[in-house]
Amino acid sequence: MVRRPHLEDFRVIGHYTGIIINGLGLAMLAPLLTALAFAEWAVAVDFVISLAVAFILGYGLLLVSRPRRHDLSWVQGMVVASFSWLVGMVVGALPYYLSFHYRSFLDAAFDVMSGFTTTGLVLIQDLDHVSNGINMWRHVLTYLGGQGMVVLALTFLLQDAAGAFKMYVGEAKDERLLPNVVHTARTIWFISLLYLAVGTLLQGLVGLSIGMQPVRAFLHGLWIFMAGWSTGGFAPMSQNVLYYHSALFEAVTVLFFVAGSYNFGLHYAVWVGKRDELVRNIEAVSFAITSTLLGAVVIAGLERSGTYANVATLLRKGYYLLISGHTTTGFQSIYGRQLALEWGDLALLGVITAMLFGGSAVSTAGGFKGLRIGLIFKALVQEVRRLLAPESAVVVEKFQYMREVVLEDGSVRNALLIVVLYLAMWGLGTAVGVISGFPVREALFESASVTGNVGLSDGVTSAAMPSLLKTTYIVMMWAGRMEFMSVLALLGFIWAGVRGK
Amino acid sequence: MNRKKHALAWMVVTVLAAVALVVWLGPSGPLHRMQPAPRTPFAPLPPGVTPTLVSDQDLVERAQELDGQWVTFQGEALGDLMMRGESAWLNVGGAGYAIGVLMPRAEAVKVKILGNYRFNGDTVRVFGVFHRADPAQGGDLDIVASSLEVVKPGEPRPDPRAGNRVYAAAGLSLLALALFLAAHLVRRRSEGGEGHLGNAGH
Repeated sequence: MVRRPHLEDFRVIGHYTGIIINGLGLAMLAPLLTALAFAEWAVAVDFVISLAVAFILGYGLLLVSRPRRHDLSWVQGMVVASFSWLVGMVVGALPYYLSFHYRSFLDAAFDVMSGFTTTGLVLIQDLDHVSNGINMWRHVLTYLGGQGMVVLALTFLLQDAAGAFKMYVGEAKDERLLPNVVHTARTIWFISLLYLAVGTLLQGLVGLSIGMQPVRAFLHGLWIFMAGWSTGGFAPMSQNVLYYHSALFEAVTVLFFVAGSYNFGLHYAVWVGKRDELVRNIEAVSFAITSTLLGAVVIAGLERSGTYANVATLLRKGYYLLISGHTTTGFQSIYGRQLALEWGDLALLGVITAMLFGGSAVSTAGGFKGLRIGLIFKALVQEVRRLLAPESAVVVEKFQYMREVVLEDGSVRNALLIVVLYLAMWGLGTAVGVISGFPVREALFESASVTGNVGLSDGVTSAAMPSLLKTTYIVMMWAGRMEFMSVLALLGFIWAGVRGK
Repeated sequence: MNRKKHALAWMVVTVLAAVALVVWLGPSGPLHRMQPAPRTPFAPLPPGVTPTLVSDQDLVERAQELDGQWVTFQGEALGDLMMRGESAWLNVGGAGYAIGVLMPRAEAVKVKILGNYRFNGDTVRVFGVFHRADPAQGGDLDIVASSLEVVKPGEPRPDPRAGNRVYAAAGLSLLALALFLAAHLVRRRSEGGEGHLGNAGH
């Protein structure tokens, strides 16, 4: 029997959603201050409106939702995570919509979800004339999304949130770096802010060296770092990283988006001196192997299609796009249409596979995740060993994931289940793409990019695509980033509200 | 020991794959025959050649057909003029795409206004050789231009926003402030009373 949600459930969900929306409102201070600093007065007014709406909604929810108990159940935690991302999408879209750079509110919402989920696909119009304030908001959104909105709230707004771990898990993070989840959230932010300082400086210096003016070099440095570290793939100019025409600039982005795609636990382990984790961790190993092998596939594909005239060019374009796709970043150093028109099928197959595999768990990356690829591979090895071993033998498979862990059937089943859900979603996105009139090859590529929260595009994503496809992609980005469970919990919660007793 | 074996195993696999890749890319591999195309940068327009007038859409969608041809491209000078020694990169925006143009520094300095939030940049016309994947520039799709002319100077961009947004901002801010204060009052009262949840953010 399905239990109909009680009033207390709504209170708890409303309360924590209110806190998270307030957190989002506070985040609007960054673009507001940017707009003021650059004397973009009209943009600043838009952010005051949006910030006020966020607080009205946030504090309104806090006023009407006053739960009697502190702690959250698993369902409540999951629903808070998924629901707050939806409400956050609507609130975050306000400054976009007010900027006149979007054809519809749906397009603005699409770009917010794309930022939150660190996907990086965009429907914005005339990006090259966007204000610094709006550009700051675009990149703050993706930076926040990379760490997680719940993580943000846990870090700055929740001092003693009992049951907060359930919200944290709802946002597809399940590794505690420290025993206390609030301390874990703060550690995630500490790691990210440390990289932010170093990354902005480095990327800004490279910007200076390639001929940009100092203020623009460091602003672009900040934004490109935010988008790279979050594996988001946004950029302040419409040509993405191609705008800079610099191998050095691209190389520095690789450093940070690869780092961003690694598990926060791995960063923490290295920070506390466990450096051998870097070479033994199952996800690091998985990434090293798959990126090497898929790199060979992409290079072979490009060589076969004769897309590039020399080896250096082929390696620069091929590997950059592959690693950008594999880490689910989506920085693009070629035009999307070039992918569709000039890259052969084999190279695209390599990139599609890399995009689906994705980065690490508990990172800013999307996709299946290296942990699941590693677990499934280990399970396969274990099965083969079982077949070859004497019947009485107990075959134990272990893997390194911050500590040595014994492979269990439950973990493998969960990994397979999530991978199957990702594949089903990829199929659904492809089908809707084809129904919307795009060729299968292009729909397959774009759907893989959305499924893995990547952001590479072969030209399908544009403001001209049908609303059905935009809505499908929004749902896919959201479900993919949440790794399905909290979205399913929200759907179950709604179902229980309708049919429960 | 087991850990070491595993670490060694994946390293061996990766190194083998990398070695295979290097061999394949090396002098005896199939990529050996791929040579960078020699080119004289900023070559003047050869006599008797008429540059093809192209749009940004043509350059991206018909790149293979136009590769290596002399073209004329017109659009808005955008963002940054990135000086690199005696050369400069300028991104020129068309209706849909911006295209990277590499040109001599002496030509680039003709650009006075670059497009951004406040300005529509100078409208420029460039003459040069189009490359679908320029081997000298890491495979970028670009135009290596020998000359540039400013067709129309840039100008300030009008702001489409209505002035009454300020009133909306003021009204909504007051409402937000009222709710913020109300939430604090309620929290204080409940902390002093029955012990409602009062842990966070308001």
